[in-house]
Amino acid sequence: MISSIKKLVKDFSLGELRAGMKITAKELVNKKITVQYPEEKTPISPRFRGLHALRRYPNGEERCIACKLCEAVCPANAITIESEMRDDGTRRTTQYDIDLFKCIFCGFCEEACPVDAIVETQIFEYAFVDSREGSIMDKAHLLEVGDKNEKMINQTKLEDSKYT
Amino acid sequence: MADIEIEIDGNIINAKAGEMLIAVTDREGISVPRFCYHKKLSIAANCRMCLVDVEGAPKPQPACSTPISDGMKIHTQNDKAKASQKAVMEFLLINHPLDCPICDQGGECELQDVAMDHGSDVSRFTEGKRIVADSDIGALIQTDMTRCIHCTRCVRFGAEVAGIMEMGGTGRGEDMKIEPFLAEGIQSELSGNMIDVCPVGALTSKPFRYELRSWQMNAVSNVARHDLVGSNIYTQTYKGRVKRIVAKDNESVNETWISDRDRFSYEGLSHENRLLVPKIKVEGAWQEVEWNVALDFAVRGLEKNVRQADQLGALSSNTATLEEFYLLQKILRGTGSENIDHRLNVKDIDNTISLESNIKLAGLEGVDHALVIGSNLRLEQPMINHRLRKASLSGASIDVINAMAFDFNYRINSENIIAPNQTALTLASILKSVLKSAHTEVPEYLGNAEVTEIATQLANQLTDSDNSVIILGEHVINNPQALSISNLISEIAQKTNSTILNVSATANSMAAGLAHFVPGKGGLDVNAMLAANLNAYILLDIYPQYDFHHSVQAIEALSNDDTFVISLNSFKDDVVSEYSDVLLPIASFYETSGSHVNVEGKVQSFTAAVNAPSDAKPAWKVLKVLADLLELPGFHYADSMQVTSEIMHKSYKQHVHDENIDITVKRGVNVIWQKSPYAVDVLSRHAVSLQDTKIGQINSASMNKATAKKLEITQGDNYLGVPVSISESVANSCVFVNANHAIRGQS
Amino acid sequence: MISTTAKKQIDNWIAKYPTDRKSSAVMEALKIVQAENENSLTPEAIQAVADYLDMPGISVAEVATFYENYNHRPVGKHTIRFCHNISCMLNGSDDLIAHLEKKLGVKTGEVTKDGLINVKKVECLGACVGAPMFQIGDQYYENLTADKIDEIVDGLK
Repeated sequence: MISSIKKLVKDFSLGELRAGMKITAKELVNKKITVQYPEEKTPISPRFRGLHALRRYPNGEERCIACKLCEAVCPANAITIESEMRDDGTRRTTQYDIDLFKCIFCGFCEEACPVDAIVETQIFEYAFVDSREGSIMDKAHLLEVGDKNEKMINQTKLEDSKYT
Repeated sequence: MADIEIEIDGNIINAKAGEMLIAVTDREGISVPRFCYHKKLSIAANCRMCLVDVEGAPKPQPACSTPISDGMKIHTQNDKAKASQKAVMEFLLINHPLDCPICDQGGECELQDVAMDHGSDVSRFTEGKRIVADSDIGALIQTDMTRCIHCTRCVRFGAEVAGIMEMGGTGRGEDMKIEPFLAEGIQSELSGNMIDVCPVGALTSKPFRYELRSWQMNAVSNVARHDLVGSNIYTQTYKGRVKRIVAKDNESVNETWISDRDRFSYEGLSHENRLLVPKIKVEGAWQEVEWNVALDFAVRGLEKNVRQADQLGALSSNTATLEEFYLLQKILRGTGSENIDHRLNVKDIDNTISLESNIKLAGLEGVDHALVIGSNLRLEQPMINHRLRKASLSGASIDVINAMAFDFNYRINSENIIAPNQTALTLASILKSVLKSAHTEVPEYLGNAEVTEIATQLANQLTDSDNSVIILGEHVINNPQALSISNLISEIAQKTNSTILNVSATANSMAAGLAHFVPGKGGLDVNAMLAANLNAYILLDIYPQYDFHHSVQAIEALSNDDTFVISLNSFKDDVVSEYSDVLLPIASFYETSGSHVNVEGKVQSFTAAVNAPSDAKPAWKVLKVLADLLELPGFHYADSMQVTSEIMHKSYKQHVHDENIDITVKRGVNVIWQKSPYAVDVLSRHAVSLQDTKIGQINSASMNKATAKKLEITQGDNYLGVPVSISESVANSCVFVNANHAIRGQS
Repeated sequence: MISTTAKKQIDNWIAKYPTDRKSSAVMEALKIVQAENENSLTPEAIQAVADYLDMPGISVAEVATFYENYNHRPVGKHTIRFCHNISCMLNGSDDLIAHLEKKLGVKTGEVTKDGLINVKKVECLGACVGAPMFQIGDQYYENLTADKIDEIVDGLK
């Protein structure tokens, strides 16, 4: 009997509505956590594993020596490498393909690499709008990504170096 | 040696007294790390990796050089053993570069494996590592001497197995280097085995350099068909290509070694000269066609040209498989023709060698005397020569009768340089001496033979030894008295209780005998066929300039306008396409299943390691389909094994040769014609790296001054298209031709 | 390559060993041939010794490169073998070697322009009592000082 009277009073005094409005009012002044992508972006960990890149040494020589350890370690068999002896007698790749359809971005290739040639950058915005073929990255493409983002790669490796 | 009991890691193990400890642990499957120890080489005990703890010994002992004795207690895994192994590993890694990612040995490296098991993960060595300059040691072996750990396996291999000490350890201490003297390049015909014995990446395969990592390839057991041994190998393949060949252990055939020819000939498989598409010749012009069109064309051509069965002939090179020989002769015999032959390099089939070997390869190393007649054994049959070398090292005396002095890699008791036309006479006088000392009646045909001092010596050697062998080589097949030589040898062998090893045939020709690939009753042999102007031929992988003795006549006969020629070839050849009407591309070595029959008659079957390139097909399949199209019965084979088992259930009577012996010396200059060691078959001729070696470049017509004068030629001239080299090591009235290229104009 | 006198000398040594062990004479043979060829061994000389003793060339090269006293580069008429082992070093051999190098105008291992002298650093010659010391030919020179070295070197002809 008493409880039903209490309920009546509560209902007619709009108690729940007021509680709801109270939260709304609070959030109106609070700092927003929504990010306006693509204009705004969330911070990315230096360990983020995004698009792959092949790096070069400062003198322009490509780092990759075709040891094929990344190919061997890749759990998704996404990497294909062919090698040869270049005219100067060094061991080099003639083909270095990463199939991004297969890749699971585990980062093992980067870990296996003895010369830090293959890395996963922080780039994650790569849609292959023109054709699906674009998602099989060949050597030229990988080197291009590396060349364009060397600064960023260096920076993230430096940041991460404290924790490795 | 007495059986004794020793204790290894707490387990009681029976072994023979005096065995080396490492041999026992290897047999029992107990792992002891090692680098310098190799079961086929002498014990050096210089790497110190196999240190184990022997109870009672103050220091750890190297297992490879510690003979066991009764009651010995050994610990391979206790703290003392492990600590010393770890210490040795650390020392070995002091100067070893960390270039595993670019090292071709990476993934199959003994040092890598042992370092994983026994090494420490961090090096305490912070000083600079030493660097050793490489020496270029030829077209087959790549050196990276900085990686060398001085185990000296390659040095010992050269000195003990190859018989030419080419590598050596110069300098001392930190300056020690393994290198050849004078950097002339390694010249051994077994040099590739150094790659196999090298535990690190210091010696690796040059043609294979940087191509693949070991884990990328599939290994398929196979048999090499270049010589009479049939060495067991692994063909390592990647994406349908043979990428490398390594030896496979088979104690009764090739032990652990293979010849360079077996190891590096695979390069020819991917040569641009491969025949890839079936072709037919229509009105003188070649057309590339589908298989069914080509085979139809072939069958129609045969039907049109062969009005009588005996107008068809079949010839095959000696590299064909047992099954191919069998199917081709079955087709011919099915159509009613007996014109079948494989002895293309024989001048006169009625006057050649026909001897059966009656000694096993493994038995060869147990002989106490050998008489080698007409063979440059080292380059012709490297693995057989190796067995004989082992016999020689354990005390066998070896006599040689050759037309030219060759480089044997063991001690020769007496080297007799005898002109080809005197060989029969020499053997006759040996026989006479044997008979005389046995006080047996001397038959009439030996009447003229004078028993010379040399003959007596050679005869005594044969009679005095309990286990002697007579080895008959390739140079005798076209001797003017080849048949007599053959008969004399079999007489001598019988009278002296010697065994015979006939290495006068090459490659897989033993299989041709087993498959009865010889003319039957009323059939023509190769030379008779070519003379008889047959209307049609089926030719199996023949390159006439190389394969025929009478190459000019052969090309002429085959080029006849009325002659319909079906050629099954693995490689393109201008002359072949000139005379052929149909060209069917066939699989080469390692691309077909089949069998090899070695000199002791052992049949070794193998499977295809890779598919033939492009449209080429295994020859046995081509022949089977051809037989089906010709509507011949009995060709319902699903695989080559069915053919093999059919052959095994048949037996043929050996052709009986006439026993005539003629020892009169025929006058005139004799030419011994032989293909260079690396030109014996079409595959090795296309193997680029083999051709770049010293042996691959052998190309000379050797004769002495007197012969040159008689023939009116001098050094620098060409004789039969081959550069003349004047050498007094050649017998009188004899020209020894070793040609590495195609010759026309040979008589 | 090997003169008849040298061959005779080598034969003397070969005679001292069993007939099938000709190779035992290799060290003496190399010594004899080296003495004949301006105190150094060329690859040709090594090969000649190998041929004479029926040995593989590389086996002889192994011996010839193992021992210090076989030279593989041209040497001067006089070789100054300067000890730089511990006793001599403690007594200042390093400075004296530097002095000698400066005086001769060549580094150790090189030959002076007139082909007269070369300096070689060697390990202990067993004359620590007189350290620092060096050896020229068969003669030991002990208790060296810069002045003494100048005097000795100037006296070399």
